[in-house]
Amino acid sequence: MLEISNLEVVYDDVVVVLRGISLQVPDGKIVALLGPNGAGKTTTVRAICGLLDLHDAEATKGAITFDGADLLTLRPEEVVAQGVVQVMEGRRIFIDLTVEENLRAGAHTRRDEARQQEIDALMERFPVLGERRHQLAGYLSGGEQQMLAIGRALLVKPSLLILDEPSLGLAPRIVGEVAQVIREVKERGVSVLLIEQNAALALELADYGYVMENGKIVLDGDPTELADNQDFQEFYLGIGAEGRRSYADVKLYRRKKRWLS
Amino acid sequence: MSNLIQFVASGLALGTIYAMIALGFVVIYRASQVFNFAQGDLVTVGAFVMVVLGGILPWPVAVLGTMLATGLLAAVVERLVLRPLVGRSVVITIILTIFVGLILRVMVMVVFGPEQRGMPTPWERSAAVSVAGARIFVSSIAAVLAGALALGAFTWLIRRSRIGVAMRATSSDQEAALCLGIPVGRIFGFTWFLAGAFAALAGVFLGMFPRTVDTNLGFVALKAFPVVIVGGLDSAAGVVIAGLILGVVEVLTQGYVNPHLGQFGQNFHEVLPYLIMIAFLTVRPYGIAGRAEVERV
Repeated sequence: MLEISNLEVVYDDVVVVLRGISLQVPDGKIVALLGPNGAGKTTTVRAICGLLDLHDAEATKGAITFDGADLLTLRPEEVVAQGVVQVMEGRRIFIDLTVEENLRAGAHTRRDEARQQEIDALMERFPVLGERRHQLAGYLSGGEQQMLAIGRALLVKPSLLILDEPSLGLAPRIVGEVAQVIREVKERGVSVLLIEQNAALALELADYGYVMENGKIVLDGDPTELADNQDFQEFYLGIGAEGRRSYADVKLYRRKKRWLS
Repeated sequence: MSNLIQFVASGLALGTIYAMIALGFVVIYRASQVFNFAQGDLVTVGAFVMVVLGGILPWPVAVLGTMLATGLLAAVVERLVLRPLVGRSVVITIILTIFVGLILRVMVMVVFGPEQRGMPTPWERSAAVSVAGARIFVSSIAAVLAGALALGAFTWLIRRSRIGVAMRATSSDQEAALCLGIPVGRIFGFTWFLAGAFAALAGVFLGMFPRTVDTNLGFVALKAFPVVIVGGLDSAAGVVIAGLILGVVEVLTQGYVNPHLGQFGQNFHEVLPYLIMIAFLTVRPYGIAGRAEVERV
């Protein structure tokens, strides 16, 4: 189980980005972390994965433990060795390596024999990757790259997979496929921390959700509770008191600007 | 005609040596964006280690031992000096590597003494074979063969091996590599090991050409800068091609152009690679095979 308690993170010694957040990811569950841009979602992930140093940030308070291990003191590769693996925002595949080499890079920490079989199994699950195994990964489409990024992370054999905005920039049909993959990951017994701005998708998949704004957790609950919350409906699902609102009804300049005259 | 064959042969040998030194630059630069100015002094260290090892071990074993020892020294330098500075400004690492080079040179002087030494060779020093009337030194042939062998091994390592894939992943996206559990710090150390081993191999053969080994041997690495620029700072294939071309051009110039320039031409061939480099910097600054990329420094 991943447990974050009262975590505070400061960038460059001055910018406080996380103001004491606490959350838990129980084993075998999907937990969603929602919030607008700049809320501190990615910073939370960086703190978990030991990447704060790389971005001149520092955890000034709080703790992160995974199955008892204190993640804040570990280097990135040691965090991975604990079984916590992240699929970074924007996919971040190795564009000048081939598809197969990307997967082999994912299996870098593995020395067991099953490694090659798993690479083959992945290519069977995602036939596009199999067809293009010797092509440069940079030529894959966005959706294919996302599948490659998730597949690459699964080869590390994680017990917790962190997905940072897996639906970012993908067509709705592809997002459906990504959702299917996330369900399959859960079926393998891997817990998932899902960072999303797409609230509908997150609620559909998650067993529990947290909403984050300005570096704080402002709301948490299981998906039905969140969906019933009025603020959540209005700001994340776009449903107001009078039902789903159309953009045509939103009057932008209702208030007169008086200082111009 | 026989002159031409002779010039091309020794040019290729010289070019192979340039290429091996330049390859070290590229390997380190691609992984960690560090420009290693100590490369030339690693060449000197390699040559001196070979002088000692060559006296006590059979030649091929001594060469491998020299590569291993120099590579390990380079890896230690990386671990002690550069690892703490990962992520710091390029300028800092450049100044540091210049300083490291200075220390290495002084260390060589202290350990091995300032005298010139002879490089041990398993064949007669000036042994040569004649091809179509031209005399080609055995040392030249050996340099080209050893270079080809090392290059083949390097290509296999980079393309096929587990650590090679990890190296390329690191140079492609360092943070993403970290997220997959690739120990990026250790990869940096390994690139320095490779660069050290290549420098040592270059030193072994370079020591055969002036036929003496002294602490100024490392200055030849200055010639590797034109090679790196012309080939492309981030392209291994590019610097190998550029190394061979510049080596041949240099020797041909020495043979055919210098005599026509009178007093002025005495060392014109030494200057030519830099002229070519300046031409490339103005027209094609990313080199033959480098990636065109704008970087603000």
